[in-house]
Amino acid sequence: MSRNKKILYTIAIVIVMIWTCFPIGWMVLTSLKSPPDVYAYPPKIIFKPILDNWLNVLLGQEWTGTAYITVHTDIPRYFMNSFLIACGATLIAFLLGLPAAYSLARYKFFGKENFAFTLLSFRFAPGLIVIFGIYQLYQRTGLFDTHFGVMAVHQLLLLPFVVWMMRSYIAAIPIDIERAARVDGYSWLGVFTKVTLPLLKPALAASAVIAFIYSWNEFLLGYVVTGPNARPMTPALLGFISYERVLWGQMAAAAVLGMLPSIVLSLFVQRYVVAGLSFGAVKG
Amino acid sequence: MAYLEIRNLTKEYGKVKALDGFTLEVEHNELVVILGQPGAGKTTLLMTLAGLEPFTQGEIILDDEDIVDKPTELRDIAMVFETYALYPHLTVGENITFSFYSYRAKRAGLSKEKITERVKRITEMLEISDLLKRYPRELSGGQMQRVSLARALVRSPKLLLLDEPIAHLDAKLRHRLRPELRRLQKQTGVATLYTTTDYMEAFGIADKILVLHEGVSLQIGTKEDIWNKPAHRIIGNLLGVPSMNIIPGGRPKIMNGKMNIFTEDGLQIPVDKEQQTRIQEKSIEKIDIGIHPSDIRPVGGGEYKPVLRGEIYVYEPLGIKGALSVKVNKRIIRVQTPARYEQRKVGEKIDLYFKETDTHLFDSKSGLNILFMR
Amino acid sequence: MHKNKNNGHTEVSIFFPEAVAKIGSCLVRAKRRIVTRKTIPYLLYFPAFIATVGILYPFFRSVVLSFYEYNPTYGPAYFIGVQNYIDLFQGVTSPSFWLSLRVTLIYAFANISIQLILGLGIALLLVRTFAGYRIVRAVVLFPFMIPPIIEAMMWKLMYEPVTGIINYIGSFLGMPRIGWLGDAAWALPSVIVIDVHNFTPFVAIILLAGLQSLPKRPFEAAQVDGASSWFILKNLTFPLLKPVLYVVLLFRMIESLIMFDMIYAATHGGPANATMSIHVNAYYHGMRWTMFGTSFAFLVILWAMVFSGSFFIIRAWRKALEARMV
Repeated sequence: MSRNKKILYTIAIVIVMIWTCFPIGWMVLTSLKSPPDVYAYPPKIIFKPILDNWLNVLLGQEWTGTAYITVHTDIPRYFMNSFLIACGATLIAFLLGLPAAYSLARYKFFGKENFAFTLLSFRFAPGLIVIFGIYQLYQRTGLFDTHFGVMAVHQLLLLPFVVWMMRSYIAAIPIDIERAARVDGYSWLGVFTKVTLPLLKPALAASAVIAFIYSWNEFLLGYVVTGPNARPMTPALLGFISYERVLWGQMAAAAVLGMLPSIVLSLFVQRYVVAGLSFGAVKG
Repeated sequence: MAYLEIRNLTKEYGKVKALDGFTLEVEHNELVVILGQPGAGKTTLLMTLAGLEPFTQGEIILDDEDIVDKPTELRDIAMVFETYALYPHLTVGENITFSFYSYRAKRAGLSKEKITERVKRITEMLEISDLLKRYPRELSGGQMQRVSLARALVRSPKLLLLDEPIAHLDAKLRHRLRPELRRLQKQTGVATLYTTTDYMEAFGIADKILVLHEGVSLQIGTKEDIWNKPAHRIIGNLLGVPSMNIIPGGRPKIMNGKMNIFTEDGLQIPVDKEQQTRIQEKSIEKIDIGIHPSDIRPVGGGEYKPVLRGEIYVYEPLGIKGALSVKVNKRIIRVQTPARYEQRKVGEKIDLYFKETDTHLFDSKSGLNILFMR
Repeated sequence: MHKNKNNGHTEVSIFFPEAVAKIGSCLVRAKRRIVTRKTIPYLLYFPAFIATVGILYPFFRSVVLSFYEYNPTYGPAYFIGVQNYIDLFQGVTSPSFWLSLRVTLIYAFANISIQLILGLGIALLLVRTFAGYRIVRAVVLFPFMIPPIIEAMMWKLMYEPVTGIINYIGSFLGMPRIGWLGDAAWALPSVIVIDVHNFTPFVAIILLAGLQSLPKRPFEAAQVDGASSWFILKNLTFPLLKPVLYVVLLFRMIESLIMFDMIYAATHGGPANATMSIHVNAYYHGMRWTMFGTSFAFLVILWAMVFSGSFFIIRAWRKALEARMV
């Protein structure tokens, strides 16, 4: 590359990085601002950072100017809700999806591709078309506003993902290895736990992380089937911007909290993310 | 009753028959080679015996026990896969002892000392004692093959199935391992089925050879039987380098009381007495003639009579032997010669000599050797 | 083998009443009969199948109810044929279907085209290696990991009309103060910018993976022939990348047609219905005004749009895959 080209190239990369990071950075900065700094015009990039917003959101401590008083905060509870729901939904998705994925990867059976495609087609459906019926069902059965209820509706997203991902990973394990273990005296279940599962470990970890992120980031389904009790983080955050006067500093702190788990977890599975995001349609 | 009896084994995939009425007896300590082209059903046969694939009908009796309804893990059959199928997440040592930790083996209750002793014996026999701590990905092809063999033999199984175990190794290693495999089998005495596409491998190690084609067993016999009396035209293709010359579509005619076969290309090939009576008995109209390149000579003498005349097409020196291709009326006939034929020029006229009794006659319609026709 | 089993059972019957042993052996036999080579694939698939039914049932119920007048506030559902659809197409719903269709299509089209172009550009930038390229690749993916609703909050903060940073930067470029999300003329483009920020990383990273998996040979040959980089891009990269482009297109089309979170969080469909997409409109009709019949008619049409769009893209994708095989 010539010198000029190199400079252009570097500038392009810098622009991309600014475009990517600036909004995130700006929100992190806002979460550290005091109310006067938030509303200052022109907007301040250099200011005296304070942790008031974070204390308020996390611990319910508000600075009155002279002392901290205890106020109510639901954010930690919503965070825990989201955490429980994402863990539970991931677990359920694997309990249901792993056997199905194994079945699709290893056997020929009647209607196999139709089953697989039906699962995939859930991605085509607008969430509402399914969730209204479930909403009414939940109202009647008492599943409304329960953690399990949200975990169950998240399967609309997670199950197709887990089945398609794990199917391609299982298919990549040579079937002769499983046959060899059968010949070596292991029952079907023995082969699965002693050979197949250990070989799938990295793939399982990666898919679990991505499934967790899907569940964590989901909004609409969780919004419709929950009230104040089991509400996950994402719908709860909506509360901040529905107010007449938005508390930008606290909102920013809560929002940073809400996106942190996904970003941190995504760093661990970088290598698998591509295959995971595209249902394995592009080899990553 | 034989140690292993397979009777009338049939396996259908929809309308296609992967195995058709397969019958075989194997004795204790016997090594039977299943010889056949790729897709002949060799692997399917072994999978079926191991219980890894279902079949349509038939009986399998191993050591006086009907094993048809037994699941794979209870059959006590060991198998070495073409791909070796080592467990990638286990070390070589763990791979070899894996079978001792199955539920079934635990119940059999082999003591730790006994296991260690067996592993020691087998790994020393196969010269892999120093690899035990390594993982399969750190092994060469030959080492992987030995490990998978050790994994099978360490169990002293009732039956050993070897699915093209040395097919993917380089030629040198193949030649070295062939006699070793035979020695090992004789040492352990385990009844063994061994599949291959290579007739040399089969001839080298087999007690008995079975030729399989499209799920049908064409011939069972010793290597002499198969070489000297191939039961089917297809077997000719499997034998020899170069493989048997097949001259198709000849009609038998009697001239001066002696039968000759006149082929489409206008060749005339004499027939011996036994074959003549057979043709007349069965009133066969069309005959394919097969002859091994090694049964044809470029010089006469004794019973060898000049039969064909052609011109040299090409000569390939193959070390101590050579392969001469001769063009006879547009047809290429391959002849195995002693070496040093380089001096003969391409296009030079040459006579080919062979014994009447060395030709193999196949019925054009069924492909069967006329001596085997019922 | 069989003998051992029988022995086992007689032993058991010493401790338990015979009936228990009998039930036990029945269960073993039943298990043998149920778990066979032929049934195993179905048994394994069964749990996922139940979940599938659990999703399909409410889906089909919604489809059926789109042919009903169904407003639980006023009474039970009654069948009205295609009246809901006629209402939609006559534009008598409020906000009207045609307005929503327009918003949805503009939203989807703008998103797909901008994101594909930007994403391809970023992928082409990142396919080269340079100092710290791993970090850049990881960071570029960040926005995609952020929930759309938080993306919307992030941008709302910057779009703030009075003190927001965007208007501040705009003032240097001589732009007047704009209401952005609160301005009917600017709301839709503003939401599209948020979507672009959120999902371009997805496009870029997938295309990057696609670029890395391309065969090296043709490119080396083209370089030897002295082809220009534009020529290589147009005649080699692009055709070879086609299958991957279709995959990305498929995902982006589906997700932007059915996008709800971001629009709802950013504008609630306003101002003056400027961002009232079909999905958001259906939400208001159903969840707010309990006009479920109408709401389902909206959703069924949206679903049909997504499905038919996917059908054509998947067909083109298969064709492109086959073409690449040859």
